[in-house]
Amino acid sequence: MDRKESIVQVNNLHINIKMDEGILTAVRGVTFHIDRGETLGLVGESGCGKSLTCKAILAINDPKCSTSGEILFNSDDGVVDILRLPPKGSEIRNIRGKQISMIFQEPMVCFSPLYTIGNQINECTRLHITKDKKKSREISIEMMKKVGIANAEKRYDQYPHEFSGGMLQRALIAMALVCNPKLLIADEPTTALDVTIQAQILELIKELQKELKMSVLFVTHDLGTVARMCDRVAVMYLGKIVETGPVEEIYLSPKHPYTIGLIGSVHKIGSKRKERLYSIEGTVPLALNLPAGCGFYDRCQCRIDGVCNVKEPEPVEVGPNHVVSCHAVGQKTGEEGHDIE
Amino acid sequence: MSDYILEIKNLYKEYTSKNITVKAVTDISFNIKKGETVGIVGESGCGKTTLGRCIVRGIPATSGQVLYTAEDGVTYDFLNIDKKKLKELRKDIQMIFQDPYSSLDPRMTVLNIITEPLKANFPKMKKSEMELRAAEIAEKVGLNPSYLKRYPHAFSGGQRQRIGIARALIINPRIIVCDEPVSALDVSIQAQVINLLKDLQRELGLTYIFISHDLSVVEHISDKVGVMYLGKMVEFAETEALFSKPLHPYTEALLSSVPVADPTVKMNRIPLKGEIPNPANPPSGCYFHERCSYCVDKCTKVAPEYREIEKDRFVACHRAEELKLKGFTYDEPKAI
Repeated sequence: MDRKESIVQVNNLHINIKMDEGILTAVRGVTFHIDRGETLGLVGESGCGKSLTCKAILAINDPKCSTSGEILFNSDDGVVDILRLPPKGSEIRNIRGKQISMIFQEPMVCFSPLYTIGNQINECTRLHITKDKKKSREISIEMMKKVGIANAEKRYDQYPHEFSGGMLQRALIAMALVCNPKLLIADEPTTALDVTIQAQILELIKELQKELKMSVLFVTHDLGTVARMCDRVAVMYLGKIVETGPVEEIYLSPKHPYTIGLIGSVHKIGSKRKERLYSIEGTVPLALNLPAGCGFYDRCQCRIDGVCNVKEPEPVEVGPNHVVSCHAVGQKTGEEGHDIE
Repeated sequence: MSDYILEIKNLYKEYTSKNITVKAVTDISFNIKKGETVGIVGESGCGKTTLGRCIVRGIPATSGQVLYTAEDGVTYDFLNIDKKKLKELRKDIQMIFQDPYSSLDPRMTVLNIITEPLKANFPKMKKSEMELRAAEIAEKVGLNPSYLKRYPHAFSGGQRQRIGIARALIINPRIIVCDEPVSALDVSIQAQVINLLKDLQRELGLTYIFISHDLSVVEHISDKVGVMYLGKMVEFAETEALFSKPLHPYTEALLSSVPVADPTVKMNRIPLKGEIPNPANPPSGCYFHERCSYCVDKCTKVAPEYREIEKDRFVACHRAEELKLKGFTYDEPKAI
C-alpha cells in the first residue's frame, strides 16, 4: 500500500455481470482510498455501481459477478488483498463483520422477523468476541444503549416488528458497530427514514465515529447528507469515479459537468428561488456494450466532438487532492468550472 | 364568486377497527387560490396522503367540506354532491401518485393507460381522436409519441412518472393533487420532473396540492406550505414566511433537521425528544407537547386552537406570539 495511513485502498476495481443480453460492465476501473478516521462519501445515481463497490470490499457480491483489481485492506494481521482471499475462508470471515462492517439501506428488510433483535446482534459478538452467552448479551445491550435505544434490556428480547423504522436503523448500527470495526460501510443508511430521524442517525454515526476512531465509507445519492457527513467526496457515474476531492472543493467549485449538474439540480433552502432547477437531460444508460469514450458523452453540455466520444478521459489533478476525469476540464484549466445558470 | 378555487373546511378522517379509532386527519382547514401551489409536509404517518386522497374523494372523509369553485363560478361541496355531478366535476381534480412502478398497470399499453380517463369521461369519443389527444399530451410531458404502443416495463422511473402526469392531464384538470411525485426518483431526474410540473402549471394555469416529505423540494415549488403533525395541521403560511420565521416549534425542529447541500452552512439541529406518538392513543392537550422544548403547563391540558395569527398565517400553538423561533435566512444566491 502506498499510503501508510490508509485503511483501505481500492485499485482499478472492475466488476462485470454476465446477463442474457451480454456482459454488464457495472464497475469500470474504480480507484480510491480511505484514510484512518476519515469519512469518504461515494455519490451517484442508482445503477452507477456504488453498492457493488461496497459489497466487493466485504466480498459479499453475488458469485455471478466477476471482479478484478485489488482491494488492499490494512487488517490486524497486516495488509491483505480482499479479492485474493477465498470468499468463504477463515481469513475473510475474521475481517467481515469484525474489522469491516456494513449498514444496509432498508432496516425493515435487513432483520429476520423470526429472531429477536438481541439474538441477531449477538450473532456478531459470539462469532468474533466471546462464546460466553451472558457476556455477549451484556456487550450487545451496552452497544444498544450507546446507539440510543431506550430500555435496551427489554428491547433486547423484542422482535423486529415491535421496532419503528428509526429504532431498527439504530439496532442495525448497533449490530454493525458491536465488534468495534476499523471501517464502517454505510450504504444509504438514512434513505428510508424521515428527516428528523435522519438527522438523529447521522449525528449518531458521527459521534460514534469520533469515539471509536473508525473510517466510514458513506454511500448515498443525497447531496445534503454528504455535505453534512463527509471529509472527501467521490462522484461516480456509470461505473467510474469522475471526480474526487475535499467536500468543500466539490460543492463550491465542482469541475466535472456531471458533478456540476448534480449539485445544480438540488434546490438549496434559503437561496433565492430560481424559476427552474438545472437538470441533466436524458437518463443514465445501461452499462451494456458501452461505446468508446466518456460515459457521460451523450448527456454532457460541454462535450467536445471527436475527443470525448473517441477517447476515455484520464484523471487530471486540478487542485490539492482534487482529481477530475474530463477532457473539457483538461482543455480549459484555470477556468472556474462551467456555466450552468 | 369565491376567491378560492378550493376551500377545505374542518376535514376529518377516522379509521376504526376492533373498537380502536385512529384519527388520521383531524380538523384540517385551508384555502387554495387558482394557479397556486400548496405544499403539505410532515413525517411519515402524519396523514398527508390520507388528506390528499380525501380531497379527491378517493376515500370518503368522515366529515367536513371541500368547497370547489367550478369553472362556471358555482361553488359545490365536492364531498356532498350526487353521483352525476361528481362524475362531471371529477375531471377537474386529478391525482399523481408516489410510486411510478406500482401506479401503472403492467398489462396495459401506455396508450391505454393515458386514454383511460377519456374512455371513462367521454365514452362517445372516437378512438382516433383519443389517440390524437394522447400523442399531444405525450409530447407535452416530454414522451416520444412513438413509444405509446409500449408497455410500462420498457420505461425508466422518470419516464413512468411522466406517463402518470400525462394520464392526469389528458382530461384538462384544473387541480392536481401530487402525492410525493418525485420521491422515488433519482436527483437529476427529480429536477426534470419538477421543472416539467412548473412549466405545465404556467402553461395551463394549474393549481397544485404538492404532498412531500422533502422540504427542499416543497420550498422550491410551493407558494404556501402546510405542516402536518399527527393528523393535524400545525402551521400554514406563505413559503418564505414559514421557512424564515416558523411559528410552531415542530416546524422549527423539522427545518433544523434538513441537511443543506452546502458544507459551509452550519447546522444547529433542535433535537426532538422521543418518537412520534401512536395516533391511536394521542397525548392530551397539544399533540406535540411531549416532544416540545417550549412546553408549558397549559400545553399538556388544553389543545391549542388552529388560528389565523396574521393575514394568511395560521398556527396551532399557545405560545406562538411569544416564541422567537429560528428558520432559514434568505439571501442572494451564491455562485456555484
